Amino acid sequence: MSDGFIPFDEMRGRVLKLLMSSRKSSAEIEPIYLVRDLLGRVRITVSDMIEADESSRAALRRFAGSLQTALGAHGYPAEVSVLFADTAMLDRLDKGAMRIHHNRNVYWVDRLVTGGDWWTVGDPCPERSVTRYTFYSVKGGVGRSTTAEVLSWHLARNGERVLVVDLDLESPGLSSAMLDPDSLPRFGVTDWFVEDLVGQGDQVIDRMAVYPSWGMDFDGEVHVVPAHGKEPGEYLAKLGRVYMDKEIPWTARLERMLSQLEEKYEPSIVLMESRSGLHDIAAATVTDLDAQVLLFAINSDSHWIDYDILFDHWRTHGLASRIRERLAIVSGLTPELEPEQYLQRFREQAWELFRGHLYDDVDPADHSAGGYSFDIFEEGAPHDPLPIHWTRGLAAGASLQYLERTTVHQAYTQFLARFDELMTTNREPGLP
Amino acid sequence: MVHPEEYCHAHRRHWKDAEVLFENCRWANADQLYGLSAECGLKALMPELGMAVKYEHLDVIWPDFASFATSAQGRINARYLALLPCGTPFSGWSVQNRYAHSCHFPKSVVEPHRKAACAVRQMVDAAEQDGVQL
Repeated sequence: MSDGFIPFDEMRGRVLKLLMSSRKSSAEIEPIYLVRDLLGRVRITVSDMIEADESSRAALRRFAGSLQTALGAHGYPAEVSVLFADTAMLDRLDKGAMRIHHNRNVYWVDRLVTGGDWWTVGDPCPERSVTRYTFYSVKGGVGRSTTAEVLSWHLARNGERVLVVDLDLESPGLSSAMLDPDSLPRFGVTDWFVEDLVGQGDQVIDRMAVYPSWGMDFDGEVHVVPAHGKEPGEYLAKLGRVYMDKEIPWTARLERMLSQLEEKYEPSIVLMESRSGLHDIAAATVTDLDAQVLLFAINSDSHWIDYDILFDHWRTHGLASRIRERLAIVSGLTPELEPEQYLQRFREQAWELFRGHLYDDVDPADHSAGGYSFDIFEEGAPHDPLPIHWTRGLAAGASLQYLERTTVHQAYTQFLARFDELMTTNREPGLP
Repeated sequence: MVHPEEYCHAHRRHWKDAEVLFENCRWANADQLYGLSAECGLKALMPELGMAVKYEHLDVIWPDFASFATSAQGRINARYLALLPCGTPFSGWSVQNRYAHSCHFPKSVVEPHRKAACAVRQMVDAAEQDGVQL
């Protein structure tokens, strides 16, 4: 490294080192919030209660000077590197804060332009009777849309009232897979978001859902909410306003839309297709909506590396225990050739991923130890893959109405059986 | 002697003093300071959001700011402007009211001004934590 160059990824380590070397002086001014701003520069925020105390101010000056030296261009000049905050402001900072060291009252806060929802996991909502599932993957093309369609068909045959919502707004696929272009409803998800901004979301909520193309000859029923209506209209102009906060965060608006849809259609189960990748709407659907999350993957380094980034983030930010029980992994495109060997390799990778980041570090065989941990072969564990067997008949984009029943059966029998078990488990806490 | 403007500092000072007055039921002067706090807060944000600072009082700059908010482009502007309360919560406020009788400022008049000033405060806080130079 050239002199004076301190890269982004070295910041946290340097701050930790500084805290250890200045334990005595910095302890006096705790709690300390180290806020990394939008440009990636770190500044100190402390309570305004200590502003009046000369000894604390001196300690603060020393700490601020050391911080600037430690962080270089990622720091602030010492004279403007401290903000004093009242209790209300500290409370707001606290919501996204991560304790940087286990026995110090020093917290790290990241201010982000996008993706802030990966930093929190919403609380469960036990009073909600409907179970929500998010279909998520780090990369596209792993069979989420086809699976949502097949699963909704299966669930409706078993008497469930299913609501399917296309939240892959940048690349809507579910809508076109399940609905003929001519049968799309008048409005879609993007229309609700722009109308909500001017207080008339209720004008479109009744005209956003239709039955799928393959009919409704079931004990249950399926409603599909597409990303856009029959006429997409100025889709890009609407899409550019979806993620707009308006007095409440846009994720709260998304929750409001879902709640309104659930009130209108009274589903027993909601399936949501998320955007793939580390996108804002993916973060919202995975972490904020109190949904169970099906993580679609294929056994490829590119998928495991991306999941590793996400799981590592959850672990290091203390979110593992809040998210892990919601997760189940899906082998999206299990190949026709040697599927058992493939699934075994997939299971090993998934187990390493969960064990390394989200499971507790305890022996799963030692039941007296407690903790959340599973053996590699444990059935029903989050890393135990729900397999979908890819066949040539399941060409990308094919809709259920054009697929042979035998093809669907061959591909999805195992998956559907496992999903039924998963659903029963998810519903158990709510059973009378 | 007139000292140079430091809008962010003044915004916070007026807010704190308004809160002290509000807690002691000094509604009329609390109302004045909530308005001045909001005015200074908006003036602190204006140049950073691409607006020219107007040397007018709150009853004039609030509608201008709200109008700018609805036409602003870009993620950063949207981030703060989304916190701006809808409508014109300070429509009944005037700096001239410092000469008025206290009977015109019951608590019910002051509370919406307090709420709106608090929203401005949150905008300023958010911008400052984000690293915006105020």
